[in-house]
Amino acid sequence: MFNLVKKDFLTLSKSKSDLLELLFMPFILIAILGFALGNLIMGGSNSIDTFHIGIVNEQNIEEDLIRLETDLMEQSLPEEMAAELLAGAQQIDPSAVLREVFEDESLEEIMIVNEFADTESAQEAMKEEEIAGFITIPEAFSYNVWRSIYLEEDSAATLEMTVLTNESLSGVILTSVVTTFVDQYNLETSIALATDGRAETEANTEEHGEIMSLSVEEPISAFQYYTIGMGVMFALSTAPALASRAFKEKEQHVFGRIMLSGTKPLTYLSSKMISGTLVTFIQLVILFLFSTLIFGTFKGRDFDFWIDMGYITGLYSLLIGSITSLLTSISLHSNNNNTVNFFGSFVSVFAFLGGSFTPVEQFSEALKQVGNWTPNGATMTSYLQLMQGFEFQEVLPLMLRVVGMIIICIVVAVIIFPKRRLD
Amino acid sequence: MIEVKNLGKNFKKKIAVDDVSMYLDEGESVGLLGPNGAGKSTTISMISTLLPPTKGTVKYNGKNVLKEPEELRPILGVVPQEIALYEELSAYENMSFFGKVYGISGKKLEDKIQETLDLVGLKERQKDAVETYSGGMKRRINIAVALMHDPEILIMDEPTVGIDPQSRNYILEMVRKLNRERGLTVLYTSHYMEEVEKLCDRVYIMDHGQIIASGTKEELKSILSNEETIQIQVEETKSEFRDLLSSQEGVNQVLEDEAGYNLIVSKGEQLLGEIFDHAKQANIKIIGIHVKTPTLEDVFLHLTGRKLRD
Ligand SMILES: Nc1ncnc2c1ncn2[C@@H]1O[C@H](COP(=O)(O)OP(=O)(O)OP(=O)(O)O)[C@@H](O)[C@H]1O
Ligand SMILES: [Mg+2]
Repeated sequence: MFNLVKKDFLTLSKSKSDLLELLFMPFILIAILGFALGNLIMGGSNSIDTFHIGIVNEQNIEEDLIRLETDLMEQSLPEEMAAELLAGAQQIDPSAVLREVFEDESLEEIMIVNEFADTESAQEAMKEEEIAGFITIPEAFSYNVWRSIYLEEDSAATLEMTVLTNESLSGVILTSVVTTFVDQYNLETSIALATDGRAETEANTEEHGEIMSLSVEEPISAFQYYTIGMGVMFALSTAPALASRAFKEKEQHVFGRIMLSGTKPLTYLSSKMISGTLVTFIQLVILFLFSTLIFGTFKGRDFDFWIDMGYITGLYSLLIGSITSLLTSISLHSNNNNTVNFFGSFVSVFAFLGGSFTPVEQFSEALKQVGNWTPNGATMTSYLQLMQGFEFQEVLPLMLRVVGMIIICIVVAVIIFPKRRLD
Repeated sequence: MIEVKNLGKNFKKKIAVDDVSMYLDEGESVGLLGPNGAGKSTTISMISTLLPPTKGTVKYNGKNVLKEPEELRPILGVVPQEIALYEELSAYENMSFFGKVYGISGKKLEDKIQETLDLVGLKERQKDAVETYSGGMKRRINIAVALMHDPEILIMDEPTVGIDPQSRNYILEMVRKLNRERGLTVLYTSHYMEEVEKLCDRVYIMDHGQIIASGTKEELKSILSNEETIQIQVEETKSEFRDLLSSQEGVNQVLEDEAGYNLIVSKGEQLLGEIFDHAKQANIKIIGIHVKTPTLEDVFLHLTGRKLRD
């Protein structure tokens, strides 16, 4: 078995064109897409460079100040101190800071902030797709923040965020901006969150919008996006590449020679699965490492992050391995390479659906759902979610989907593989 | 050792092998002769358990190898008609891989590789990729791989096709040595009569999926014991001349090729005078003529009315 796998690696290593295709091409594409389309992809649901977001301010800062003043009075603080605190509070008005964050120069390029008088008009604008999402600063927000700071009370300061689609990049950016704000402000605050009922959400799960989770760590950079996108795509193309090698082995009668040695057909099939898995794993690891080394793609991530990445990569590698064995099985069974070629030419379609080139949710949510049923799409979404700071548990359903695909591939591959001799 | 009975194979409607019966005794060297498309490769694939037959049986020591291929496979060395190797890998890597596939490893593997490379005369080139080899060298390494596991029976499917005479002689000499000195049982497929004449004790002649004659070389030639061949070389061929030759009494068969004509005539006929007369009549210049005793080639010609190769 080891001998068969080693041979696959040996022949692969001798093929410059395959190595180029498996390792060099994705890397070049990451570079091109990362640099050239960086802005475009950040545009999210608008296909232009920037996207619009809305802010709805429901609070009245004067009122909040008066309420804070009253509270401070009640604390029987020295008058001077109370006055000082009040002045300080005015200076660090959280809603103002939030707006500053949004209007920061570095975000200017990608995000334009529109003010709305109330949530209804913001909803309306979102429906019209004028804005990708909006943040609501609720009544007494600043007041609640101040209370938690100055009076060390449990704060009920809550920011509400509504975005057009969950998981969209603009949503991610929006969230990350808010997170930055939260970090800056160092609030011990709970912020309204929840996607898919992951936490209690108070309202706002409108037809159009879902409330984004704010557990997000960082926005996804174009390089991260394309490293994953190209990685899963080229890994997918590894399967037909290896399967056509298997077919070539049969055509050139080396398969016959291997069978003559008494090697069991299933041993051969398993070796293809193992080769596919190992090649994919190595391919992705090299890609991730080089992307990090050269573009700083995953710089500064902690050990746990890499462990989780390892899980997904391992699982995806297994999936590619099982697809390899399935394709091998089909081509040896049908005695032609049509299916493999067909699959090969379909890789880019899968890649598109899975979001390798651009987030498909910008076209339609349904497309995204379909994409999440492709091997690469399910994996890519898992990667992205992981990078957004989702826990592994939350990625699990998608991963189970991948496991399901693995099982199906293997079972079908074994069933149709010519068992005793070749025909 | 191996017994083949009424073997047949259809590919869809096409009958590749119709009805083949043959046997192979230990230590024998047996030739399987036939023109292109006769069904030789198909027969060999079935004997070597790689192709399930449509009908008939192949038995090894009395056991049906189609049901129990495990018995025969380990002692079988098969040299396919094609170069069945990883051409991007070196000779050494190929031999190492196929050796390991047969469960040979370590020092034994290394020794076996060097010994076999020696046998096929490719020691110096062992590290080079097979695709950089000449046709003759590829053929030799193709054989070497089949010898890695010390098979008892060697089945070779046109191992010398399309190579230079020097490589061909090398291979023939090698196979002869394997058969004579190591006692390997050899089934040798070819459409070169001279190879089979040189190498084999017994011969099967196959055409259109059937064995049309079999026996020792002498037995086969005795089919033609009453005939001999006259080869006529001419400057250019003419159908008129051919017709004249065909209608000549005592001439049993006329075969035309680029160089001229082959006549199969009844032994003892004195036809040379007539031939020159016909040539004159047809205005043909004869540049060479000779009479020879029959070869297997002539046997084939006699049996099928065709030459082995076009
Ligand atoms: N896989 C196949 N499918 C369909 N027809 C086949 C197949 N293999 C062989 N044949 C046909 O069976 C016949 C016998 O083929 P085979 O290869 O056995 O001939 P051969 O004697 O080895 O010829 P050659 O001297 O050219 O190698 C040919 O007419 C060929 O076209
Ligand atoms: Mg053949």
